[in-house]
Amino acid sequence: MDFRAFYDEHVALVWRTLFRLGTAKPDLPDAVQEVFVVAFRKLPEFEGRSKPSTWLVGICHRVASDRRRLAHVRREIGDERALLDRGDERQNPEQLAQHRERIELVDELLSELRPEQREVFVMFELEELSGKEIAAIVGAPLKTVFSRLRLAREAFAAALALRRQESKRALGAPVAATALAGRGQTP
Amino acid sequence: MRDPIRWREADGGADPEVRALLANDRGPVPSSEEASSVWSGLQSRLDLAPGSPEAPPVGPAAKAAGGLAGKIALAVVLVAGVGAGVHGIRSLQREKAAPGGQRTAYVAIPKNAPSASVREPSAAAPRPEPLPTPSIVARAAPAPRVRAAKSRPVERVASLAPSARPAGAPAPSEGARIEARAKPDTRAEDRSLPSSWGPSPLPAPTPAHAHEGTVSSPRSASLEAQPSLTNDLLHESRRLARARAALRAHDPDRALELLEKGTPRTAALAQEREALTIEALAAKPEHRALASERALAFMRAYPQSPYRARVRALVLEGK
Repeated sequence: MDFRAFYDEHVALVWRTLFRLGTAKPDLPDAVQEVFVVAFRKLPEFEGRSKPSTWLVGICHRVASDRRRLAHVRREIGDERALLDRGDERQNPEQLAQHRERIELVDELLSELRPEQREVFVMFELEELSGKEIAAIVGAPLKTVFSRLRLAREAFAAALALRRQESKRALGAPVAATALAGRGQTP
Repeated sequence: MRDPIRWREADGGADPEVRALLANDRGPVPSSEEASSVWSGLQSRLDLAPGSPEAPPVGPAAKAAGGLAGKIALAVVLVAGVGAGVHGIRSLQREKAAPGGQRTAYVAIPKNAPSASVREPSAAAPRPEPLPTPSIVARAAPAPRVRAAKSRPVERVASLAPSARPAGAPAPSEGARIEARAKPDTRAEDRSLPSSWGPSPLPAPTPAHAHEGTVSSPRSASLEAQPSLTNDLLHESRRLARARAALRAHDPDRALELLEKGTPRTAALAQEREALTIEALAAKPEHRALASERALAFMRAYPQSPYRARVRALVLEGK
């Protein structure tokens, strides 16, 4: 496999992982390039103890952390719409719209999480890395990783429930009793 | 400790709505134009030749393992892809016209047979052969650790100094000099700063006329410097890696000490060095103004630099 093939095989993974880890859409091309530059330089050191995709996720984690440290990310949804991913070109407009809506929703919910919880959640739930792999990437004990995952799950579910409530309120519908009950509140 | 069951799974314990959201989420996908654009940038930055020859075939062990690539670990080894035999270093010089009429010289340092000759840069000469794309050869685990000496990715030198300067010495760019003069020199007031931390002369993109009548100088310099060229690059690369580690460990003083110590022995990795220096300066509130100054000079000198976004963010951060 040459480097171009390696790039083609993994560019989608790197793109979505960086986005899910909080890289702003306009910065994605630069960030993706940065990941592959690091990968290119570090390939001689890669010992194959993990899958190449796992290894790349680790590099994405570092690049996204560095960028987060340097830049204040301020999402201007209006400007970024033009850069929204176009999805699968075979999808019809309705599917594309749903696809975009889902991406936006997941991104909004992830932004409610603390950075260290977000990265664990993304790597475990979305990229399906093992706990051990995540622990090696973030440099924390396994117990800490699971603790962050638990907290991330709670925050993610709560954020989704809140969003649904707000949507229903906006539409004028009565708030679902179950949603409130789930948060320990009564209607 | 066992991993919990993922929320996407039916028995993961997630709310059905959450499970549906995660199960159907495939994340954003780059369009083919976006992916191509990023690849073009990579080609330029890593000096990968466009239309490089077909990669060497994957080794037999990797072929056998290829079907299980998603399930077993593979050792991935980067090889130069220029044939068997690793003997020495050869340097190629070629010129590439950058947008805006500036010329940027690149030095590629592949491993190659010692019989290869050095080509001299000349506007009239045909372009040297493009370097083959480094290949990734998969081998079944466990694989021995690849020693750094055996495989070295191609490095790109941001610029070559004009022939009047010794190899590796940074050359001041016109833009940087003008920028530096525009700002009052406050170094005398800030006694805590070493003198080298002022608006730094940046390695210049090589002007168009730099190679006229100077064919012999860069050639002889590169021939004589061959044995030490890779050492200089290794040294510089390691220094930058240590500086980067220091920054990550929130130790900008240590990073600055590494970056500013001594004169660079090679102009290679100059952009990266400068970007790291700016980052280290920006991490210290008392040097933020200087960081901004150098960031602006950097962006003027290297408008197409892949470090531009990061350097620009440092300027915005400081405001």
